[in-house]
Amino acid sequence: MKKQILSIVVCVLTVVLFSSLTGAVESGPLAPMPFPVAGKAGPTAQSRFFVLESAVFNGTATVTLPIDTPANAVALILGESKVRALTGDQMALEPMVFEEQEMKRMNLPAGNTRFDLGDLPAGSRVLFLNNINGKRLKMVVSQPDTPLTLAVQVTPLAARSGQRVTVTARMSDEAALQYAEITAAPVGGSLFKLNDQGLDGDLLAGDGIYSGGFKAPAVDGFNGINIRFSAEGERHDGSRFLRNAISSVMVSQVRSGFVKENIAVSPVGLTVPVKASSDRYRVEVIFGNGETSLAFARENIEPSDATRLVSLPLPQSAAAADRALIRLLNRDTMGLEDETLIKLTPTQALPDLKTPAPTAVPLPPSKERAVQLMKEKE
Amino acid sequence: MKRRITRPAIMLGTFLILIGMTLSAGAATGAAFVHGKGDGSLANATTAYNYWGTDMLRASTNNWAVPYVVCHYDGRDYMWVAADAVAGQLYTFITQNNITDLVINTHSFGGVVIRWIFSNPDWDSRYPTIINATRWVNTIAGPHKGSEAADLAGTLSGSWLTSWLVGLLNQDYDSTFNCQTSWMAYYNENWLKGTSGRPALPKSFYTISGWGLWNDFCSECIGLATLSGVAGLPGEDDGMVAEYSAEAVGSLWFRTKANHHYNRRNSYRTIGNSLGTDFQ
Repeated sequence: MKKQILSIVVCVLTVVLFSSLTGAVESGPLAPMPFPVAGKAGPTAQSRFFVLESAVFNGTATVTLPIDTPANAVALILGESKVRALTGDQMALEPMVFEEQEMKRMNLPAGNTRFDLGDLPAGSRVLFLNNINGKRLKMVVSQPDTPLTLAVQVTPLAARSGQRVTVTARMSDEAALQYAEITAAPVGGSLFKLNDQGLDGDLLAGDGIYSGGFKAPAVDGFNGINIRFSAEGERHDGSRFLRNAISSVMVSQVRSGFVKENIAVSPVGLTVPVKASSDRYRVEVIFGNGETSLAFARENIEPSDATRLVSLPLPQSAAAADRALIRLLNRDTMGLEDETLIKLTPTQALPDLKTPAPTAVPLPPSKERAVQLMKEKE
Repeated sequence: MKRRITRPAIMLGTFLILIGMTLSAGAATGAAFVHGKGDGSLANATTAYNYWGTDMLRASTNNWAVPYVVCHYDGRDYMWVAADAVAGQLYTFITQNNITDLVINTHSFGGVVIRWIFSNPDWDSRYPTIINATRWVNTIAGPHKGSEAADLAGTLSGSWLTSWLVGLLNQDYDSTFNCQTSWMAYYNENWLKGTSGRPALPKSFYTISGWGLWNDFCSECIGLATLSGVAGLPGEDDGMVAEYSAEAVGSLWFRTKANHHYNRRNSYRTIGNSLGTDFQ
């Protein structure tokens, strides 16, 4: 008992002393939103398109497009402005040549050609392309109205080098597919096949969710690794399909971390030991109760040869907190190097957080006038 | 010899001081413009000016009624690198003109760059001055939750088969990576304020989102409509940024039919006239 009291007193003194010495703590309330989860999955990316590449001979190339839903389908040919297209039955497609600065801003060719494929019948369609300047042709075909989508997700969104990254892919269609083969390739890594047989991180065999994984590579501090997905197979009617998608995992090389067993909690705050490192860090804490976020606190720390004790106050709005998620962010690399969830003892009952119906914050009068102006014009 | 100050002289002095204070208060309002991503030429002041165009700048400053600064940075950079350049220009503008009432207008990725500054006041000693001097921020078509078009660019960059070379040689633009949806999910979760579940931004952000594509069937419009269709931007979008992403921070000011090409201009829709109402 005495030991516990002594520990609390030391913790309180540390929080008070260090907070007053550094003075760089930022804290405050959070709107009651879902409490963040350590190891959270990334966003789901949905795709209704596929990418084709083809060799070009004497300015011509032939491609076969598996089209399932021609309505509003579009083919985009990158970096070509004079290309012409004929279908297998010699129907010429109308080229729409365009200059798109936004594509140039993304390091893609600005001059491109678009063909609308809405008049093609569904099925595998051959296109003869000529007047091609480049040595290889790259085209992307999108079918916005297709029921056949590829949805991909990466878990966790933020990984540490060496940590296993799980990727999942789900094909959705109006009826069960005859078969699908889905592969993933992290940029700079090896291509691997995803499975739906309950193996290698796949949670449930035959549920239509394909899974696979790889080890997050070593990176120079921090980097996002793009993962490219390819899916091909046959639909319920035996017709062929292709889909591609992309997602990313954000990988951090660990250079420091919490000394978790020495994290101390007192009625006024937390003391978090951070291992020695020559980098600059930020410790951020999200306080919550159950599934609800209540408050945050954060403090920046400078490089040190020794373990640093970071003291963070418990904001007033965190009095009802029963948990805290502590994150270690590297300010030199932008990496998330450590995160840990700890339990807290609430000192107050959780207030009624029933979120009132959202009411729009009134705009300043000048902005209201502008809204009226825009409504008249639109 | 002591000179005696007469009462009329004191009154005149007081009057001049009051006039000076009034003028100084008038001059304390200003406008700033922060462009989106692009290539290295956007580090050039003239290119950045042309990004907006004279008519947009004229209308947005209420016919040049307020002093303004057009920020310029290398459009290939990550948000914090771009923010470093932008902060330098904003800081100089604020301190040289005694600006205490700054309205910042951003387009596209410029909104994310400014959000970096407002989310990380302790990152740079100039940031607090900028934040304190700001009345509010207007973000036009900001990819606050990323852009599926940037995801598509990641899919299309380099060769599908030899993409690892592109990754290794780092030939892709940092700003395009920065705008991918996974990357923005990470930054929103850990480094930025203002999205759902994160600490509030220290000043108000007002968003303008675009939902039109075929504005006047210009070459740019074909490109944006194609990007929108191919990338599969969810919901309504302006060809580059879906409305859910543009409206992910702050309060919605208004939606516009102007696509991503036109919503930084005062031509197809008079966006600049609307921004100018901040100074009326």
